[in-house]
Amino acid sequence: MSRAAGPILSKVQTKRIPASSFLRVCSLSSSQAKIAGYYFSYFLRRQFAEDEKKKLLKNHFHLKSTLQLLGTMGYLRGAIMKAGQLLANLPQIMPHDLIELFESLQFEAPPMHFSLIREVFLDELGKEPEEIFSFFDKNAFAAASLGQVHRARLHDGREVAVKIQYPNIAQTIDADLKALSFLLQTMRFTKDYQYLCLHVQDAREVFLQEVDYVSEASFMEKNRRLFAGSEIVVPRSYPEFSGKRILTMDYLPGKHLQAFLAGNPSQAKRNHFGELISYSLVHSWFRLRTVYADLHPGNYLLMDDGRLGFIDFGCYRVFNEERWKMEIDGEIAMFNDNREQLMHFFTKLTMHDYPEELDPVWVDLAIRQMRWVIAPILTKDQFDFADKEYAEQGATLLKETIKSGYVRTDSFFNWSNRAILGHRALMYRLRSKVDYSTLYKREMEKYS
Amino acid sequence: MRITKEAKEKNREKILAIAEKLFAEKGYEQTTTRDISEACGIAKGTLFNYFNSKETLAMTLVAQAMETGRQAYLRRKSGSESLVEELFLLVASELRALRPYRSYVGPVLESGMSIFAKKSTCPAGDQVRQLHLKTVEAALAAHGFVFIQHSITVTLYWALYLGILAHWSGDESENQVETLTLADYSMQVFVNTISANIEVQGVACNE
Ligand SMILES: Nc1ncnc2c1ncn2[C@@H]1O[C@H](COP(=O)(O)OP(=O)(O)O)[C@@H](O)[C@H]1O
Repeated sequence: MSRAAGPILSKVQTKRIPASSFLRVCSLSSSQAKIAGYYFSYFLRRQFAEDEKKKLLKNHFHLKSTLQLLGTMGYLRGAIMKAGQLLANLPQIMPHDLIELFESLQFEAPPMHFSLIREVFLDELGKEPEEIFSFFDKNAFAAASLGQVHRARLHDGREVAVKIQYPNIAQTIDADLKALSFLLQTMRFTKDYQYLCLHVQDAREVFLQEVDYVSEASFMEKNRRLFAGSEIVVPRSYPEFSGKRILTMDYLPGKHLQAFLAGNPSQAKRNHFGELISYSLVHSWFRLRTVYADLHPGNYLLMDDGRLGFIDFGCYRVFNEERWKMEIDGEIAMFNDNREQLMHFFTKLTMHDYPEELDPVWVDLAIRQMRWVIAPILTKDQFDFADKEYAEQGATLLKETIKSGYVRTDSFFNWSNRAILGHRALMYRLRSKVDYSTLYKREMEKYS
Repeated sequence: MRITKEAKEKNREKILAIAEKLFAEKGYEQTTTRDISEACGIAKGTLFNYFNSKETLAMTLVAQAMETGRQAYLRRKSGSESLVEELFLLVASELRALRPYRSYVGPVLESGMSIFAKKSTCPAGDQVRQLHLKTVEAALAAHGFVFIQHSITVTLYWALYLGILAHWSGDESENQVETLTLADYSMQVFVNTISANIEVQGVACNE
């Protein structure tokens, strides 16, 4: 569970300047007209579960008028969107009405037409799609956060998925993040301003990494090797047909979680995939010292033969040596219930010098959260991730965290909490029972 | 001494090639007609028999590139494009062919293809404008639209088109990708407008 950032927008709102000042700030920055619409899907796809969407649909009327209003604002939409996306990385500062706003705009996201795609290909690879592929489907089969995904066939017959990025999105992101910094400056006299800025800076780094498909492909390759021989399949990428904005990889057949669940799978199957999903997270955590900052159902494809497709390696963070050691020490302290070591960990985590400086209210919350996180690890044999009490506890803790608005932690803490929450949410939806304890401890002993 | 038509054409080609080279090396602004005539080994007066100004020379180069782009569009088009896609393909193909001339497309188009001038000072400019508009007309006709010369539809299109070129000439983004999004947006605006597919809001005038 993350607990970064003060409630920026709620503060802004109490000053009664939200919409207008937000727009004014944003209009200072990016002016890329068309691209604006594309943003919305980016933000949204990753943030909301299906049930959340249904709830929002009830507010259809409200959403529609919002949509129409923003639809007339052209390029402003891009900036608003990006700011929103950034805030989404810091859920504590994401007010519900803004979430709704962004959600409504998803309907606006127009796909790239084929003529535009051809230009991207010429710029990136110097060739038209039909020169590279023996078949290329002009219609996308899936939306990606920064682009769209097409099916194609290589000349050697291999079926591939081709992810194509919207033109100019990287530059727009950067321009819009600057706009957000303007917004944040209104808070520069608050006590945690500097920590807030750290989070923004960190989010920017992750974004810039995410827009580079070459870097995504190389991390994907790393993961492919890591999971080779297991039941987790990571697609092979084809560097000769890929570039910064085009990623050609093996097409993986498989269902998204939602479609899988719609088929009423047996408990055994749900446990099986729950175990694989958990393994993907825990194994890369210990082996690559990596946290996937963007763990959502769209990143997994559940295959009929029982294998799990693992895609999307754009958004991650790698621990450095020092931070990794700190993390492991923290975990051990928690397992051993060693209060002194734990306080030491919290002190570092919150960039304080002495444990005495820690806010006791926050410490109490942090401990309760950590207990929640390690509960499945401490439970012998199978842990039932569908357990209602456990899920409710998690939701309550998240709410409490958001309310606390505590910003002063390092960003790794944020990302890993987000990943853990993502994992627990996935497992809950799967109603999976997994011997998480054995899995986790085995990995921990082997690799830490 | 009279020279043959072929020799004349050859000279013209040579002047264009040398001018293109000089513009690229020295920059358009820095290159004078004297530089060009000297590099061609001809008198300045002779140069003017072929091109009456540096602007005309540049416009001719630009016009040639635009025609190359138009041909590329005709080649690339599959016939299954939507109208927006087809117009975008035309513009994008032209921009790609124009890339080597990007640094001086601005000043050239200003004098050669201005939205105000019904006829420009340069026949090459006129010709390429006519060809471009004819191509647009054909694309529109293929999608069931009529494009009447000198109508406001043409003016709207031409304004958007020159706007794209203007932005492109100063576009600092990699591969002028920003202009790509602008071109797409502009063509959608155009098609929406001629399809009467826009909502005009709040225009009820109360005096
Ligand atoms: N290799 C692949 N095989 C099959 N489907 C894929 C593949 N890559 C992507 N997809 C589809 O495209 C969607 C978006 O891809 P993803 O890589 O998650 O995009 P992003 O992370 O950029 O949003 C996925 O949820 C999936 O449905």
